[in-house]
Amino acid sequence: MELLKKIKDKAPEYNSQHEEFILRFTVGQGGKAGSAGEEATFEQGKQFSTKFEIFMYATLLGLKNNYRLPIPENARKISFMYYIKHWQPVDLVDFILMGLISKLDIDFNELENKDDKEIEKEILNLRKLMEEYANGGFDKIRSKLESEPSFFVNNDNCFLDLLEEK
Amino acid sequence: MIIEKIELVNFMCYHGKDNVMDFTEGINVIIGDNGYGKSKLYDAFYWVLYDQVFVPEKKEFQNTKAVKSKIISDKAKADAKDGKVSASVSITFHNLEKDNVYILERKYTANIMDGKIMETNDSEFTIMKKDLSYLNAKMVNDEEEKRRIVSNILPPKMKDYLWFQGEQVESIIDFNKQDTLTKAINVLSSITRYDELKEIAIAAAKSGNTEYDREVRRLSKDIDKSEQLGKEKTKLEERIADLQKDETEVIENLSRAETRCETLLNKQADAQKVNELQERKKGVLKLLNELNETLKEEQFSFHGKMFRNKWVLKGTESLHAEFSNRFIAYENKKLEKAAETKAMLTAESEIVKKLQTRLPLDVPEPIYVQRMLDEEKCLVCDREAKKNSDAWQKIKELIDRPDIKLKSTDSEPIVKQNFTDDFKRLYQNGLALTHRIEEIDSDIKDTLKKISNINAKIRDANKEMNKVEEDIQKLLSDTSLTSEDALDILNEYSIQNKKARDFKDEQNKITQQIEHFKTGLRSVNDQLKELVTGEIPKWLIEKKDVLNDFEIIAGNTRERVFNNLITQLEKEANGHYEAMTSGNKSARGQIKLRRLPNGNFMPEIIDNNGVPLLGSNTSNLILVKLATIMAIISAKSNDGVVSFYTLITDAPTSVFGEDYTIGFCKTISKVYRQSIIMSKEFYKNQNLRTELLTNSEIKIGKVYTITPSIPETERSNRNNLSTKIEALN
Repeated sequence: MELLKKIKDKAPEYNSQHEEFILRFTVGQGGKAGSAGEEATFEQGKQFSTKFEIFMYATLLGLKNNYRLPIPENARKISFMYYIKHWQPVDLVDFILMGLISKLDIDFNELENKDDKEIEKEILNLRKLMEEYANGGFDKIRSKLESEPSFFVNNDNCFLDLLEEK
Repeated sequence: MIIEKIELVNFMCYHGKDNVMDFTEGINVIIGDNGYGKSKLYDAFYWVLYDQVFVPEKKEFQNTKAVKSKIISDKAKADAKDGKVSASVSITFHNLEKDNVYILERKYTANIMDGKIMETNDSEFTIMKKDLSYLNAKMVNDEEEKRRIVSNILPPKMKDYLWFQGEQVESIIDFNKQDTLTKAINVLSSITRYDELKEIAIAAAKSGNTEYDREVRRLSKDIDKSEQLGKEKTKLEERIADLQKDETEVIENLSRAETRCETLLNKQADAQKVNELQERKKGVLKLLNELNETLKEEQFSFHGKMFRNKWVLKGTESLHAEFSNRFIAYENKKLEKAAETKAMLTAESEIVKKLQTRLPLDVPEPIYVQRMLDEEKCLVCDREAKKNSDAWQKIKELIDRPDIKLKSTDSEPIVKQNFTDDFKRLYQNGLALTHRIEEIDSDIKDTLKKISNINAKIRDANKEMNKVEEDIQKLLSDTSLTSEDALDILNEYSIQNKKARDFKDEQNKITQQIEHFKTGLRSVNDQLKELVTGEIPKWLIEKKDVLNDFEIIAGNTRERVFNNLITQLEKEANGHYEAMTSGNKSARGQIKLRRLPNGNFMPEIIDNNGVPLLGSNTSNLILVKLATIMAIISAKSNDGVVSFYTLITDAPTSVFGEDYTIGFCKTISKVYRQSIIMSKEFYKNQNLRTELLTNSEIKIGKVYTITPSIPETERSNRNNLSTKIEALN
């Protein structure tokens, strides 16, 4: 069984309440599919070419700050149309998965002793973990937007600066 | 003669009867913003004397016949019931010297029937004359006398220089028309008498010469020869006259081309500058475009670099460290397990090595071996083998052996899954990216620095662009040039310059030809003289000489008088120009009236070394023109012109701005006994207004403000429009 391959055959979900600002910062066209060029991103005043880019950003932001926020049970969730295996760049995707796997509450050696069914369960746990860290990241963006809306206005570096904030 | 009062009744925007303004000697000022009724007031003066008003749409003065009821206030027309409605303006002129008063009134009446206006064509014009020693005024009925009075109040030839609108200044003194000054001098001086004298002298000299020639022929010893020489002489004279005509024409052309060149030269320097600035603008624009393109590319890739250059990983080093720890632990555990297994296998193989290996497998068969164990006896060698004794154990090994063998040959995996490759891949990828993370800060810094450098360059380029734009705009507004004009000027200048050179060559050629024919003429005259047999009467010779001298003297005198007038005019103009520009340092140079080849004069501005100043701005040129107009009037001060006539001008100052306004008022109040000017400069600028009212160098008359009841922008319906007149002093 190839663990990474199995993980990448999944598509995470996010809380629909973030959709508004996700769209604000992401090129509308190609949103879910996501293939807008750099020029289009810039000219539309957006920071991300695709939704998975902002999702990856949010996950990293959550991981970096160790801020994991479960999506409420009753929340409406939006799922990515494309599996993780289609996300780019691959090395970044792998880095994020690396970060998440190390947060998994299970010994790697024990993992290897599990049968396929149990592994599948762990993979779903990992996807949930990813969603929770991404949700944490999104929450940080949301709270910044609320507390300091001007931070994102006319500031090309805003998302870079946000990475540096504790 | 001063204007004492103007009264307007229902005249255009001046609704009602309360529109009265009194005037005194000095400068009288009517202050109002654009669209407040200043020009209509100027119209009122003009209408009374000339039955015409200025129609802005047509840019010309039109008779009452053409404008008809437009003269009447819209409010008066709207308010009127059926019957008559009329507009009138009356002006009171006071001749201080003779102490009599003329009241000139013009009135236009229309009929209103069922709310419809029935227009009439003509206005009524009345003049009341009143000697102040008498109580009652007398109406002047004789049309001829009325015309004479109007002509006395404002002689037609003086009109242009005394009553004018700001925008007319350009055409009154037109730098493009070389005879502008000559015409003005002709109007204002007795120079034409000298021209007549010159004509008489030429005719007299001609008649003297003819009489002398006749006598020469009469005394000839060879009549035929004389006859032939006489014909030759006439032919030569005709030829010379023709050539002189051509010469005059060429000189005219030359003058025109030179004047045009001069005008263009003035503009050419500006045009050259405009052109240079346009080129510079193009250069800066190109640089700006390139910089913007580079910046755009940088900005495009800036967002991309978040992912491409992994900036998004900034500060995430710990993730790999964490994974690394777990991965190492995992690896170690896996290695430990592998080592354990290996050790076990080694131990097993050691055991196996020690096992009974003499007999092949399952020999003896397990059932016999089991029997041996049960009976505690070896059935092969028939020796006793007590339970758990060495012998018994040896026999038991024969049964256990298959198991041991099975273990050692077992290739089944240690764990259910093997994720080593995946974990390793993640570890290695993380390691590689962690090295990149260390470089992110300097990478971001470099990129930001690059963008900031480009931005700085763009700022500089924009600054330069603004400066160039500003320079261009200033130059364009100072010179009233467009970029296209500038190119046209440069092209036309080279054409006119070539024309001037060609005319000059032609003139030289004609002059040489004339000289050649004159030599021929002298030779013919000498030959004719040689044929004379008797003696030509002395009186005849003297008469001819005197008349020829007279021709020269008359010509020179005319020239001298004209030059004196020009000198005087130049002096006066400079006096006014200096006075008007004293308040502004940017005004420069002095006025020089330059003589053209054909004897006309053109005003130009020269510096202290007599070098013409090129590229003078519009304000300066207008000031030169105003100074020249004033000079034409003030140069005649000995004739009482200035004290007799009133200057009325609408917005003369609007073309040169506030800096010169006070200087202009001072000069005006010095030059003219009375002036009435309409101006907006004092409307918004309170300081300027205070200075007008208090400056001791300005001889101030009455000052009024005029204010419309409805602002110009809201005048879709003028039926309520009236104008309020307020006296400020």
